[in-house]
Amino acid sequence: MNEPTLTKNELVNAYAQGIGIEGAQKLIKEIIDSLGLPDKSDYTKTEAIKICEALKQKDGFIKILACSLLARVYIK
Amino acid sequence: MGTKFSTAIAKGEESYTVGKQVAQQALDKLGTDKIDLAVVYASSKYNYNNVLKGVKEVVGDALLIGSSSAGEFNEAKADKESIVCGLISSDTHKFSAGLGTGLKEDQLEAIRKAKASFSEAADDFPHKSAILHVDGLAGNGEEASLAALSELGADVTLSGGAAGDDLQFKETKVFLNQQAVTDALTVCMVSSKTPVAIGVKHGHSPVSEPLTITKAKGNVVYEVDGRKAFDVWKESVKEEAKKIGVDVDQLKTAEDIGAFLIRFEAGLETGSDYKIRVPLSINEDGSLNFACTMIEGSVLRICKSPKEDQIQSAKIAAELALKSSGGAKLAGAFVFDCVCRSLILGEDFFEGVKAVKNVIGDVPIIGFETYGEIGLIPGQLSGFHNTTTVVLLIPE
Repeated sequence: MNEPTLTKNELVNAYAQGIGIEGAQKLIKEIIDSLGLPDKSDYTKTEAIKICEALKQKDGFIKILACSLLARVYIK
Repeated sequence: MGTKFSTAIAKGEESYTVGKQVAQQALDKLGTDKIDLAVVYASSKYNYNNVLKGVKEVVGDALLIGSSSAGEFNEAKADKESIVCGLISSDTHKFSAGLGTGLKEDQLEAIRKAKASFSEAADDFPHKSAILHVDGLAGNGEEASLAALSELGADVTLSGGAAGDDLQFKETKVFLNQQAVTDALTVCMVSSKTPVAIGVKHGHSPVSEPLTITKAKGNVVYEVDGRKAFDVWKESVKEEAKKIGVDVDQLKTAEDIGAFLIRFEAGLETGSDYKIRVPLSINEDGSLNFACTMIEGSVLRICKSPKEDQIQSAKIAAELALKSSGGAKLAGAFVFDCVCRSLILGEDFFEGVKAVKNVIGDVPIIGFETYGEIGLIPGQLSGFHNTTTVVLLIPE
């Protein structure tokens, strides 16, 4: 059974440090919607990996930060 | 011995001579011939290769890092068109550095290249911190900072700055030993017995209502709240600008507009504070060019940047660093200060350095005016700042 490994808040807060809260919320919502995942507070390891992989397809620091987040998810 | 730290600042006409002179002055103050790290920040007025040759003549095989700059300072003075040199001799910190090229193309790969040159530090130097210098015109300081975080490990603190060129915006370079390189970064890994300490603070406060970026690509913001970005900027701060003698309807030249934008920068709410992003110039279509990537959907508040707040923020950055140092006796400090702060403070720029001195005491300081500051402690996920002061304290 997949235990929750990443919260939506963790994702938003990670990106908020660089692009502000609202920008981060919009970015994460877009990614979650594009993956067809439900909007919820906690994501399983499998879902979290999908989200980070999708963020890695973006450019610039969004991609690089996704690499760090992905590493954290794998470690959890 | 612990750690010894000295600095000197000099200016002149001949690059090699000034480089040699400033290094010799710093060496004369160091109190030992053993140099473990030399740091050089040089104005674009100079031929960097000749400066480094002159410095190397004095420091020999010591590791040398640094960059081109837009203003230089030490604990005694701030100047333009000068060279500042810092020397460190230490048996409590070990230094190792590498150069990463191709910064514009691939920041992760640039960090990996730099990292490949690191030497292993002994186990009794457990605390790791990296001093990062990046090409200031590569436009990807945030990416470089995060790439460093990703490649060096989440327990490594980061500080540093983006190289400047006296506001010419033509070419900026990072230094490693006798190399001065563009489209590159350098990473200096500091392994310490007692950890270095970092403080970061800006001096901006919001004056506008929340505004949404409705059209942006890369570093360019085209529209805010569905209208031309520059029009919104002028309208939103018209009254605040009047208070400092700026009539937004009379902004005609690129210089006037640039000076206006630096006084009214963007603040992105991050929860506990605002992340400051500086608009550098406008385009013919009324869009704004920022120093780093801006994202559609972000909500910003235009911030004012009063002179007194810039001095206060330097003080707070020093206080934060000092608190983080846990009372360790200090050998010296690095200060990475944005060139925008210099534009705001004008002749009062050194007051900010004095504010740092008042907090950390009478220790050597080496600093330069950057095109972006780097400061990141474990747990943070954004390390690139604009119009901010970053203080790095080196304990004895």
